[in-house]
Amino acid sequence: MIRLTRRDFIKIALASLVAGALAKFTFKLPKESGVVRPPGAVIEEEFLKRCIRCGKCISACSTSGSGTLEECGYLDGFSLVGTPKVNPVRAPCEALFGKCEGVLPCVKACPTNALVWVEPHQIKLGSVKWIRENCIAFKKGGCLVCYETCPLDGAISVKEVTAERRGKVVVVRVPEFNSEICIGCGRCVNACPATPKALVLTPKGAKRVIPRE
Amino acid sequence: MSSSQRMSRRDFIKLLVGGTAAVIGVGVMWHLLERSRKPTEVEVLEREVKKNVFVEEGKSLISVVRGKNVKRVVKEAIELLGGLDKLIESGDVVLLKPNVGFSNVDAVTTPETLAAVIEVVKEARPKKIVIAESAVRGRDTTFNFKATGIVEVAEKYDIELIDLKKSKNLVKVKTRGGKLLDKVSTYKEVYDADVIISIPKLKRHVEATTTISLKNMMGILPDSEKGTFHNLGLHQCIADLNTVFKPDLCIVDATQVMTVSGPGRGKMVRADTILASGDPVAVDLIASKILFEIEGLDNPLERALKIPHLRRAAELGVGVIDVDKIKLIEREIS
Repeated sequence: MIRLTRRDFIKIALASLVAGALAKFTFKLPKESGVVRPPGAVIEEEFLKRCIRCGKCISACSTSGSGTLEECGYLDGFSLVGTPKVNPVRAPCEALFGKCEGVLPCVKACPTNALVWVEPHQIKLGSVKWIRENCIAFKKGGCLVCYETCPLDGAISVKEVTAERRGKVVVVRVPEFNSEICIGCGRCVNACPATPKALVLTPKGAKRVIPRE
Repeated sequence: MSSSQRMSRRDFIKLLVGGTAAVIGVGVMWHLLERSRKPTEVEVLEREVKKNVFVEEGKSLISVVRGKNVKRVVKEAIELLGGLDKLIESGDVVLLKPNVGFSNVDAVTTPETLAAVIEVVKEARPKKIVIAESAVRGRDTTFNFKATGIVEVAEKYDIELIDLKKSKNLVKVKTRGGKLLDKVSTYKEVYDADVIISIPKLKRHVEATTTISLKNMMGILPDSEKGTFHNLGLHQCIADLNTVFKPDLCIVDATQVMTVSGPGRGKMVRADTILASGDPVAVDLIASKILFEIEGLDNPLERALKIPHLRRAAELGVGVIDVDKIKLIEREIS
């Protein structure tokens, strides 16, 4: 049996505090629920209570859906580990204008109503953030694949802006995103050929289901 | 170091550090070994490219047939070129490449046109006919096949429908003098075809100006390669691709034309026209001109002549862009 002196105890306590603080600022743990949830997800607070991390929605997505769903990891936030998130880099969500429209295998697989049935017009997973510095259309032209692949009229349009190329000011055509129309399916993010991607899917503006009781 | 039964704190820490170092060491070694084991060079294949068989007095033939009965129009367009016996031999595998990049009917080759082409190709009795497509990045090809009615056509004529994105058989094929690409990645299913028939829809395209026979060939590529095209320079890459995967016959579906904007959505105009040719550059030139005419733009031919991927494909010998080297045969059938 080790007996700690008061001095040692205080030392250890202080050291743990410093270590904890260091870890927090070094790893920059993201704020909770910065992830994009599957269609039909109830509001986040309730979602975290209801989701039992069984992974059934994720396997349903990979067998009958597009395979966009994956488990949240530690970097998404400790309380989110094991819950499902949409990762458009794997595949876009096909809940609208795709093979899951009117089917929603993820929702059907959920045993605890963390995901509930929604009609197509209720689906909005989030919106898209444009990172101009990564965009091929902005940097050199020859790409508007996001505009091409977008299934919604007006969610992505093409606008002309001025940019500097080789010391000259030129007019370039870039995509413009309308988050009011965008439903966050992630097709544009999936399609973006830039490395690193010029588009990020965020849960901003997501329509979440408010449970009745 | 004490050799007593109980481990000292010092020994414990030593063991811990030593153990961790050993695990990391093994991990690094394993990683290096794995990396060295990966094949660095995939075999690069070569592909024979057929010369345009639909020529007359050294000129590329293009038939432009107008009429409401798509079956008759397509048949007539191909017969005006001289028929498929010149192109298809009995042992050939014929690959039909419609544009099914999207799931909305406006943006794809109409099933009626595809069906009409299949009927004519079947008469030439090839060994096998397949329909293949790799949809636009971000889109599901199998879903597009279902949503646009292509599945029904394939089932009706008992033709294999290939969603290339689901295939794992990737090959690399040398281009013939490509300026940005010395080789392209595609699928074995495409490489194995003896005859390629491009059946594009006549559409506007936000980056390529128009998307017709040449641009349609991007639908034989895996998504990663399409990404490369946009990164390197779209127009030149389209030309480079067509040096080795040049369609042997192009049948342009201009029954409904997507004008003003595209390739996903645009103003649809009915034109009831089918164009056919063995020269993808020449037919794209004439089809682009028709599209610009429909849009009411002035100098439609001059505009078409300026489309970069057409010019670059012509420079690489894929086809001709000179109207003096093109022979147009126009027909109207009721």
